[in-house]
Amino acid sequence: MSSVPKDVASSVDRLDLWAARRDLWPRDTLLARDHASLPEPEAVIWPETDEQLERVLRAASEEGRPVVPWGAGSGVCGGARAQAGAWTIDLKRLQTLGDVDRESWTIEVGAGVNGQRLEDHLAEQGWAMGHSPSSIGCSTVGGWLAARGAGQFSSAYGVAEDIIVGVDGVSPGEGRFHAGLPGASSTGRALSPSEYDMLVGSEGTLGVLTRLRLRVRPLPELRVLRGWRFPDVPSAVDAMRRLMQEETWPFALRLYDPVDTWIGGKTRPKKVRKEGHRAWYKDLLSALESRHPEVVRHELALPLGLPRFINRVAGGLARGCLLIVGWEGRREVVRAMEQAARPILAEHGVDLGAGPGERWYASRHAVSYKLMPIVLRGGFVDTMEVAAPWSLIPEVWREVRRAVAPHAVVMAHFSHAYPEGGSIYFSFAGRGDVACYDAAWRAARDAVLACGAAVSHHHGIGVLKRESARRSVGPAIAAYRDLQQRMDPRGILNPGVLFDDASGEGDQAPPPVPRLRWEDGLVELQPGEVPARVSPEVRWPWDRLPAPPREARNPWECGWVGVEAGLEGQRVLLGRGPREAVGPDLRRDLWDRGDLPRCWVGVAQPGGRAMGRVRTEHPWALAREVLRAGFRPGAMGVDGQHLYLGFRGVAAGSLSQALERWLVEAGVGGWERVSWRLLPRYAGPSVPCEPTDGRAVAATEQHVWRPQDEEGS
Amino acid sequence: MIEPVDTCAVCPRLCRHACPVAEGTGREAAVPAQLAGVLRAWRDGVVDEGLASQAASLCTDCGACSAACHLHVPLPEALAEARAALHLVSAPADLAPVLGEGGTVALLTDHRDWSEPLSRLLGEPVARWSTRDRLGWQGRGHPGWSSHLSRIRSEVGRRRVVVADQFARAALDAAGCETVSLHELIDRGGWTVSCRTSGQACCGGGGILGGHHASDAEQLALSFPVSGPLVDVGCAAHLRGSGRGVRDVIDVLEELVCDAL
Repeated sequence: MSSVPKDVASSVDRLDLWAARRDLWPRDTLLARDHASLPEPEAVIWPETDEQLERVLRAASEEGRPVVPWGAGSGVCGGARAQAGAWTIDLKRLQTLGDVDRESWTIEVGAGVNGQRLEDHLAEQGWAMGHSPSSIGCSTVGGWLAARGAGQFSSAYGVAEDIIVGVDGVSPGEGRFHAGLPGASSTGRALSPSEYDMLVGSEGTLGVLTRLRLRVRPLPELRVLRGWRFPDVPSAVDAMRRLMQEETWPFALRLYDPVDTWIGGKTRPKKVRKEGHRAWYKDLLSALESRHPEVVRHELALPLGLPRFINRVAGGLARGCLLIVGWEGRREVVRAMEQAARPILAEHGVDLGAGPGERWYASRHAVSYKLMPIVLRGGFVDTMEVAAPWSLIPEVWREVRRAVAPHAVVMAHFSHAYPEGGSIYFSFAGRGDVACYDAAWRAARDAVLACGAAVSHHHGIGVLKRESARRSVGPAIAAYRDLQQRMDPRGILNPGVLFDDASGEGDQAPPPVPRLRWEDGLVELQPGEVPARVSPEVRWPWDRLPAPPREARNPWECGWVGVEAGLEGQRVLLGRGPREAVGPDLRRDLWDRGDLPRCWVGVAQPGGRAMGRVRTEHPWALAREVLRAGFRPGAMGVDGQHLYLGFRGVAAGSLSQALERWLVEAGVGGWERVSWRLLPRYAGPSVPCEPTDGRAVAATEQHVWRPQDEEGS
Repeated sequence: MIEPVDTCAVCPRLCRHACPVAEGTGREAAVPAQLAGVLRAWRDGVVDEGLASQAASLCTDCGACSAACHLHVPLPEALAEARAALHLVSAPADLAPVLGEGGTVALLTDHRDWSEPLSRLLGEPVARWSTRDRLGWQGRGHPGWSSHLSRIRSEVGRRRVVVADQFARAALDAAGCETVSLHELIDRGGWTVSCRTSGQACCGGGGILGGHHASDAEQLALSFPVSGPLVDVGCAAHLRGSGRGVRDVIDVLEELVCDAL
């Protein structure tokens, strides 16, 4: 403790050490429930400035003391659990929270700002970020990027790393650094795009984040939500795929499998659920609780103790599954999307009206509250989120359930969908101690790896998945280790998380490479191939690979999904599903260094196309305004003084008409319908510029962009 | 039977954003679910009374955690019980008499007497009543609490009480007295002392925490988002030296009187 800089707030108070023992990894919750011993840090430190943090890290580095960065401890993989003798660096006094920059549609916030507080702060000013993880009340902004988190609206707004456009931080080796779009206070070295990719998801092992800059947009004009009942998972997953590949961009798209639908009762009105067939059971429990509390304590023992039987019964009784689908944004756009999507949904689904969707929206952050009774009554409960291309999703869903069934009652929902695939979110509950918990997890993890899917979509790696993460990245880990050597030469930053070299998993054969099928909507490209020129039509026609960094493209414009290349005699695949979050993003380095690299990029579906062009003095300035008005053109490019805007998919015609009306309202005349053409999108290094800059080559909602000068400005 | 501290101890700490102390101080230990974890461990004999006392005294009893909880777990009540069991509840101090005449009483929670400018602002006589322990609110749970409330009732009678401190107000409410918030009365002056979570007058951190965790009380007060001039009653009293434009309550009342004239 004596070496903690004296003017930095810190504590060795037992209460503070106790509170920093564990994050929300359910395994540690079980240990805490049973009063098992958990390691405590030696001190808790609250830096209030970058300069203080820099001195703390220097002091820790000098004595080789581990430090654990701590936001709100909401991680569920043990990534922020304490280590004996370590300093926990609590970032909650990094509370920068200014006003929205109305020119750039961004806001800069301190890494320790609570998510709900940020959302409330934005809403007061009429803005939203579109990031709504169920942990929003108990997580911090810095933690979102550190663990590559995702919110429930990721189908429309992307995941945390898509929403965050710039970051500042401090590391023991580099001092202060920044990445992405710089802010007014950014100092130190600017990380390269490849280094920024690796910082994302590094869980505090490369540096400690201090400030982040996020995209924001005005609160939506209209939000609509509906529930649809489908006969089975495959038909519903197929509808989800088509909605995304037809570019209808729902902000909410959540499918509950039959067991989750049945147990959650999500298709029934709330009144029925409350007073319906299980009311008598609750009455019985209440009556028993007063006389025979031990009976109630063991209420869950039987079902959780017979998981194989319960899974079979539940699977047999459960019929149909619920899909929640919703749109928000500009009124006309929302109506056009919803209308166009209806035939896709109605093909196999039954419209349940607005109720199920609105109920979900109102209680979307409440699900975690339902888990406590299971834990308190001697059970365990956990969740696992995986990512996969569309064609692999049914297989992963089936195989994980089969693997976990002997250990725990298992159900799933599919809550993050993209044109290139999606995520499955398994929930499992069983009876027993940590040994039972570990067995269930091993079974689930092995099933995912055997299928070739990604073991994490948004929960991060921490301690829980460090072995499977190590196996997944194989020899591609070298790039991360090189950067780690520069940013944290003494290895003091959160040691023990992310990749477990000691496990020997890195020497294992990598998981199989899934075979792409037509429904995945992906095509393989090699270096030198220009996406804009290949057939079938690539969804985002970049003029080169890799695509621009995240801050220079809109969140829904995917760069690439998987990158596969040879390293040390092995074929390594990174990006086994869209927005996978298996630790740091190492794809760019694999692409640059690997042998015979190939990458997966999305292709557009044939069908609806509508395009027009308008002549204007500053086409990219107008393009930014179109995006800000809530339109998401599938094709956008400039040829001379013409801005070309096109829509794809089932809503193409109506969106084109809505855009034409908007242009008239905005005083921009001369809209001319033209036949469909793809205009290559600039993908080289770029910087924001004045919207009227004659060198402009691209636009996002936030900025107009021009190529970066050779000098780097 | 599962008690609130059990439920909260294994909860994903979803109340953390609601708790003004946890948010204001940045102290993980102040998160209500963390307090519950410590008290559960103390109940089960795993940690000692000292640690439990520290935890229990970090709660200001504002109720924000319970209001934010989707299960409405009554954690504040459980913490109040724990404070009583840990002998952290002191007997309410004897009440001072209400001084002066009038149908309105100004409840003064520090050394300053703002009854006179309030009287001029309202255009009616205002009696004054001093308390240094928020009308003994921290004695809630003490065996003498009921008779203490009776004494409050008897002292106030049918008068209405103007009060700046929400805990003293809660004591008055418990006694069945009519109360008016000073904040509401002079809100038209544009000043504020707003807690970031509840939007209410104050969370009480300056008072309750001041005794056991003084630096936290100061940190908590500093965390208030300030959207207008502050009046230095309640927690904002901790901000007098902060350079954040804190105004003396008497000056603000005098200004309002001038404006009214």
